Parts: sequence; structure tokens; C-alpha cells
Amino acid sequence: MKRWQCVVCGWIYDEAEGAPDEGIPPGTVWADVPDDFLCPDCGVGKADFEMIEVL
Amino acid sequence: MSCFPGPLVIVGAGLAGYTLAREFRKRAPDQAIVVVCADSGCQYSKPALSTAMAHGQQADDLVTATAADMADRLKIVVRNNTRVDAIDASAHALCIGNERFQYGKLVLATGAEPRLPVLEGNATAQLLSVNHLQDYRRLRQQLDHHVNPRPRLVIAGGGLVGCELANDFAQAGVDVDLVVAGEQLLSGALPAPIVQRLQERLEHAGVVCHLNRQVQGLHRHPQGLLVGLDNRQHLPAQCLVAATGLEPETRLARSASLTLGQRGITVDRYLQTSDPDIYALGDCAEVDGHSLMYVKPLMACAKALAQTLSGEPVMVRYEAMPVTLKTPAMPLRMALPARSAPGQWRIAENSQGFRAEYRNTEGRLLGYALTDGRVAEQSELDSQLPDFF
Repeated sequence: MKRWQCVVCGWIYDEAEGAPDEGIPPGTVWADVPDDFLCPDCGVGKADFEMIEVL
Repeated sequence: MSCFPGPLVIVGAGLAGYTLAREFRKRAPDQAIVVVCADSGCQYSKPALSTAMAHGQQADDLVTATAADMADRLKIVVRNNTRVDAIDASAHALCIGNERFQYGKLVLATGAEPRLPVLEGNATAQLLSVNHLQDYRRLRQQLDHHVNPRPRLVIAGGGLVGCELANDFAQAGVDVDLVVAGEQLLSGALPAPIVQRLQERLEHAGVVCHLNRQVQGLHRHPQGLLVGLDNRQHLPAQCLVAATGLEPETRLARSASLTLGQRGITVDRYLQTSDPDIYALGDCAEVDGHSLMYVKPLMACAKALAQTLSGEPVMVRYEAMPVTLKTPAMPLRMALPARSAPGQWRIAENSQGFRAEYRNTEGRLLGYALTDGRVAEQSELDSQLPDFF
């Protein structure tokens, strides 16, 4: 499972954890997160997320 | 098909300018959009400047697109390295040297400039700031080229940026002195136990905190610089960085005699200035009396303004905006109450960390602060916060 980071504010999306508060269940890979998903911390769109290395 | 005659001209190529261009382009595929900016027009994340050391990033690593990339991707014209001298509002034109550049609608997204302390001494020109990638590049050059094993950095300002930078550089092995004008970090916006714990953690990470102190002078010194404080103490250092606040950029607005607020260009909830064809958003704008220099309100404004400019006027809505302080020494998430809201802080601590809640007399939650493991409790609290407007 991979981790993605919002390039604008640093919020991390961890595929294993999902984002349950935003309606994204644990285990949801990034490609399956809806296109209109917004970063919960800063509001930028999915297109602005970049992938970071799995730690 | 154009939404209005003439190009959309945006002054400023920061997050506000480019996001507005992107959002408007989605709604108006064919209308000319021109972004004019005094700098290189590179796209980068300003929040990332506070954590670049920990992520092993140099200034150039933070650039995600050049002006040419942005022009290509968004199908816009970017006139970078171009300083606008004034606005001739009655002629709907920007004055750039002898050029009169016509706009259909104009958007000011010129951001804010660091507020710098006035210093005495023979090295005052060496004072640095960190609000822009170019400043950050200079700071890293001064620190990275230092020959001693442990460079020393003095940061003036114990607010959000000052604390984040202090943590970032201390973690990277730099000796940091943090000079704070007030009695507490974060301008006393949070209950004392929380900011005191933050201070302890920063000190444990190697930051020396000087409270109730201001920097007064900057002098040349054999190994670099000597920073003078207002108690006559002197700190040798390689750099002095000012993180002492931001002033909205209003020069162009003044050239057009636009109404200015207490902090920025006055705009209503349609982001419109006192001139019907000029709008403003981002750090330079005071939106319905609010100056919130964060990403979330900026994004809300860019989307709303794009819609308004495309012919469907909509008022921007500011949801509650919690802020996460990017200090690994003490994870901290807070939502601060609007300044005018009367209420009280109640604070609790368990083995996981602090939880503080700010409620009014009716018990309505208006703000909160969570530390360490309790940051996870944000979801429960976020849903209770009211919108700003």
C-alpha cells in the first residue's frame, strides 16, 4: 500500500488507512479515490497530489 | 466564446493566481488568460518551505513547474519577470513601462510581503525572510556553505512560521535561537500549558527560546554575523531570518485608488474590489473583513471567483479552517476562534496529549487545540465548528 502527499500542504493519504472522515474506506488505492476529492487540510484537488516514497 | 470582452488578466503567479487561472480555464476553455508576475512564475508550495530541510529538499526541489510549463498546461500566457507599475482603471489597462496592457477583467493576486524589523548595525542588508522561494534559496545558500560543523541560525518571530522553521532547522543539525517578542509562542493564541509544552519540546530538539525579546541589531562578525537583542545580549550566527508577520501587498491597488481595509485590499464575498472590473484574492485581499493567509480560504476564493467571472456570480463561503502546525517536536492541530467571539478555553490532558476546547456561553464550540496522539480527535471536533461565513 502506498502513501501520497499533497504537494501544497503536506497532508498524507495512506492507502492502508484511507480517509474515513472523508468517506474513503481503509485500503482504497489512490486511483480509486473520487476525482472530486479535496485535501481535507487545504482544499486542493486530487490533481495536485504527488506520490511520495513508501516509508 | 468569451465570458466577457477582453482577456482575464491576473497579476501574481503564486498559489492564488495560478489556481484562479486553472479554475477559470475549466469554465472558459477559449478565453484569453494572461498571468503577469514580477518573479520567475515558478510553481511551488509555500507551506513546504517550512519542512524542506527535514525532507532533504533544496529550493529548486520545491519547484513543481516553470512558467513555461504552466503556460502550456493551462493554455495561458505567462508574462514573468514583468513588474506592473500601476493600474489605469478608467482605461482598463496595466501600465508596464511605456506599455498600456488592456484587460477585460483584472484580478490582483499579489500576495503579502514579510514585515521586517528595523535594525541597526553594519550588516542590516543581510536580514533574510522566508516568504518566497527566492528568499528561501538565499537562506539555504548562506547556511549550507558554512564551513563550521554546526551553523547557527537566529529566527525572529515565534508565530506559526517561526516555530515551524525553528523545528525544521534544529532537526537538521542547525543551532537555532528563536527570538519571541511576546511572553509565549504563537502570540498567546492558545492556552498556556499547550504553548509551554511546545516550547519545551522545541528546546529539547535544540532550539533556544528567548521570550520577551526583540532583535535590534545586525552586525558583521569574523565568523559571519552578530545579532543584537534588546537586552544588549549578542548572538553570533550565520543568518538572521525574520518571521515577524506579513503585510498584504497593496501598491497596485493604491495606484487605482481602490478601497483598502485594515489588512489588505477590500473585497466583498464576490471577491470584487471597489472597481467593478477589478477583483482580488489570496494574501493581498481582505475578504468581507477577514484576512486569512492560509491555503484553504485561498482555494475557496479561487473557485468562487472563477465561477463568478464565468458569468455565474457566487459568494465565497469560508468553512472552519483548522491549521496543523508542522512541528514534528509536537504535533499540534488548532482551530482558532474568530477574534471577536467571546468564550472560554477549557483544557484537558491525558497520556495521549492535550485537548483544549473554546466554547461560548451557550456551549457552542468555536475553537480547539489538540496535541500529539490526540490530533486524531479532530474529526469529532471539526464537525462541530461553525463556518466563518
